Amino acid sequence: MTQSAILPAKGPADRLTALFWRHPRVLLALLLTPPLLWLGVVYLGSLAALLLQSFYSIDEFSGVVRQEFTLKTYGELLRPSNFDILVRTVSMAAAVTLACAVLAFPIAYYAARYARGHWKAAFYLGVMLPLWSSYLVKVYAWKLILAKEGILGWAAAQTHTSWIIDGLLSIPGLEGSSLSTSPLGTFMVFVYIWLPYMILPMQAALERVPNSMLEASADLGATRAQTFRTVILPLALPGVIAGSIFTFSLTLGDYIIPQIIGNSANFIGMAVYQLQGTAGNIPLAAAFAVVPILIMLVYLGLARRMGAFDAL
Amino acid sequence: MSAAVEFLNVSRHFGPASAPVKAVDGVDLTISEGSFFAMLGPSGSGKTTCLRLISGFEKPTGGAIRIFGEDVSNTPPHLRNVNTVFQDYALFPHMNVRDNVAYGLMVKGMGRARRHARADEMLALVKLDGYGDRRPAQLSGGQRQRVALARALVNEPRVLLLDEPLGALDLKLREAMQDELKALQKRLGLTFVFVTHDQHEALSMADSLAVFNEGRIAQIGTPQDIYDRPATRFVADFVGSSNVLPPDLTRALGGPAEWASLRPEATRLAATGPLTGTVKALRYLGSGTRVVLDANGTEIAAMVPAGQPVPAEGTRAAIAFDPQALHLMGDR
Amino acid sequence: MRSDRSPLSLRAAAIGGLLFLHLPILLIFLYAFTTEERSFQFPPPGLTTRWFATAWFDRPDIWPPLYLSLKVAAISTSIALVLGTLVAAAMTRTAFFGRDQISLLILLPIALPGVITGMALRSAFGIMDIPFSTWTIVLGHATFCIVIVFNNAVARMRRLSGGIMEASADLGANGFQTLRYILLPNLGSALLAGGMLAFALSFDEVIVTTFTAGQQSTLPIWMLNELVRPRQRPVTNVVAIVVFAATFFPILAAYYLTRGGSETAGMGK
Repeated sequence: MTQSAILPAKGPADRLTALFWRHPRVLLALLLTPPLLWLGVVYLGSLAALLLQSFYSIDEFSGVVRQEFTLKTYGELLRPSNFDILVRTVSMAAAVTLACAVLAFPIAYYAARYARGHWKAAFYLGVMLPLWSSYLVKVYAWKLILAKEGILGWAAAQTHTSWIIDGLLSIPGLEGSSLSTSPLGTFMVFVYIWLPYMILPMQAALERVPNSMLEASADLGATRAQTFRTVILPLALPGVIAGSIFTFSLTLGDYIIPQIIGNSANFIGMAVYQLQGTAGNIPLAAAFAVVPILIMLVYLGLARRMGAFDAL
Repeated sequence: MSAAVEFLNVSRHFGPASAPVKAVDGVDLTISEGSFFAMLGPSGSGKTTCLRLISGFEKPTGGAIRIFGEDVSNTPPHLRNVNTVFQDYALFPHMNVRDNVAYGLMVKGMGRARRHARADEMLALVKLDGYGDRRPAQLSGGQRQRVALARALVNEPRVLLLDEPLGALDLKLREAMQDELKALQKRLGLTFVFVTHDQHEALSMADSLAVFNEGRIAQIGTPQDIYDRPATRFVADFVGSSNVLPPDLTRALGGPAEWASLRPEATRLAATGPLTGTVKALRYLGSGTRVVLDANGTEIAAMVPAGQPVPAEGTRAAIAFDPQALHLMGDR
Repeated sequence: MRSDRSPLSLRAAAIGGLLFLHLPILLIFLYAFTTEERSFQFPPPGLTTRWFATAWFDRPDIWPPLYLSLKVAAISTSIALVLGTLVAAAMTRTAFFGRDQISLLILLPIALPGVITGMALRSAFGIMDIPFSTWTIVLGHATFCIVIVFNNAVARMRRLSGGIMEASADLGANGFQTLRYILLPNLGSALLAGGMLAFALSFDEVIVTTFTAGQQSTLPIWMLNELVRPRQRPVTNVVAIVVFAATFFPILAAYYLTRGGSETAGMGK
């Protein structure tokens, strides 16, 4: 019973624990040093290298990278052929984001408001599994669906609705021999692949809308449409913006989908890939890669103002 | 009796030095060995921080703490021979009850058979024989509380710290545990330091208590001292539902122009008296009725024992009291 | 709005949306059994299981990419487990200067499009003349896997009653004993879940990898080449099934390991 009030330190583990207790910052530094070294050197270092490369230029005759500061490479982005790529990519990202928001809403709304118990879990898994499962496999599945002889063409032929697809494919800008070689196909696959990224934050935002608020709106005599427009939509908006960060950013940077499905019109990602690979023009590739970063910085700044980060 | 715990001008400030949040500010305190000491105060008054300063989870930014005469400034929690019963019990969810209780012995290197035997003894002491194989999640709140107690006591600490241990229990269980804790403390002769915001709990269990307000100790004393002779308006107000009289009223009643407290139980209703007012509210309490008078804007409560006539609301009444019951508090 | 029954049209749209997310994947399975190897004809003219045998016995080009993918995923996951857990442990401690910046830094590799991470690494390798190897692939993968482990670990640490670490110290355990007997047992399933998700993510990654692999081929890169220049299309489907399974089961396992809390795995990809 009459042990001392202070126990003696036994061994190095006790003494080290005492050291960490006396100097918590030592422990913090030990914990943070390895991951920060990794992220700081590997990741930030690489981003710095990217930025550096984008200010270099390539010698048009020898094809050698000239390591001198110049804005010439950024100037090349404004050439019509390159500028087209930027416009095409941003338009696609905007269209995909809009379509994702529209398609995601019923799923997110149903899962947030009505699904209970097992259904809730099923909905959650049902969204999460496609989100995580193999990206390439999903793209490949759509190659099967959209091919001329594929399931969509077959279903259209069976129901005598092939004229719809043919009609769509004859619209200027959407031309192709089948959906899998038309920009429309590219768009559809983008929407499919990024849809779960829109559903989850939207659902999270909608789950924060208390039922009592909807009831209050109904009590005050609002019709369903009015409740939807004046209560649910504004409250869901932060979730939509949070989701749109993903759909927009992911579309901006993707280069696999337009490479496999579509009319091989160039997108930013494809341009980056081709320039650094076969063309060997790393400075221009780097300058192209900086564009999505800038766009996303502006986008994130706007989203932060609209309170989207509370929904992440 | 020697001192179990001493605080020498202890402060714990948070945040920047330019604008510190003073959780504990210049506290001097002596807790004698074998006593049941309560730290009482509203939330944010610094009482829990003081407890954590003893266990070592907080470090003082000023002053020194001694446990049985030894300065613990450089001693981490795991080398302090004091144990804590946490507010939310903090039982280890992945261990059964026996392993929870035996944990302290295990990390000190005691063999499995011996430590399990000791754990079972402790479980018997807190009346949980036979619960050793259960998981904490399978226990009720009261049972978890006992496991937490056994887990702390098995280490034979020099001081047992209890952080609002009864706060999560319902009233009936709480009262039963109060008696049990008090009995246990007497039997073991151990120093208990008990943090609570419940003045009834503090007054009924403690040998002595400290009332905390805004990081400082407002008063230290026996429960009787604190209740009968509150040192400040804050103590009078917080510890009992006492009447606090402003200086001009005290003078009107024949005292000096100082703040004073007057316990409702020390008053009686009378036909005439030094203090008259209109009956504003009545509250039936079973053992009596609490009558609130409005005496020229100051509310004064008096107790009418059960069986005696109670005046109707809106009528005039007078309060009489023994002049000795009027307790002066100075200007604080 | 007051009734708890949903309008039929909403329910139909929601369930239709879920089916839209899942049905395409089933086609992958169907086409692994088709007898037609040159086109994606639907319905398949006939069904056969011979492509599985072909993939196993007659396509030696599948095995090296499979090994490389497994190797990269295993190494990247191990690195991410260590680094992600360390940051999580640091971040759940008291606030410190630069905390917000660090969480942004962890999130960045997955918040920015993969092509940027890939191109950034490619630029760095170019400037420093680093030759492509397994390790250049691992550098990229481990970087974006850290956040996955971090998310899982940090969510569990927040849910753990903070008191149990203090209780352990209070009862006389030093920091290493607390780590071994209290923290790791309670963190274990969250780390396992994080590790599985990281493994799935790495095994399947193609965008960053194309920039960091040089002439090497991981399984997704092999698949990508087959998509662009197909040889035996059903064999690609067989491999796709393998890749799908290698991501599907870890995700499902991660979900069941962490369900029942606000921390459920997968919210943070």
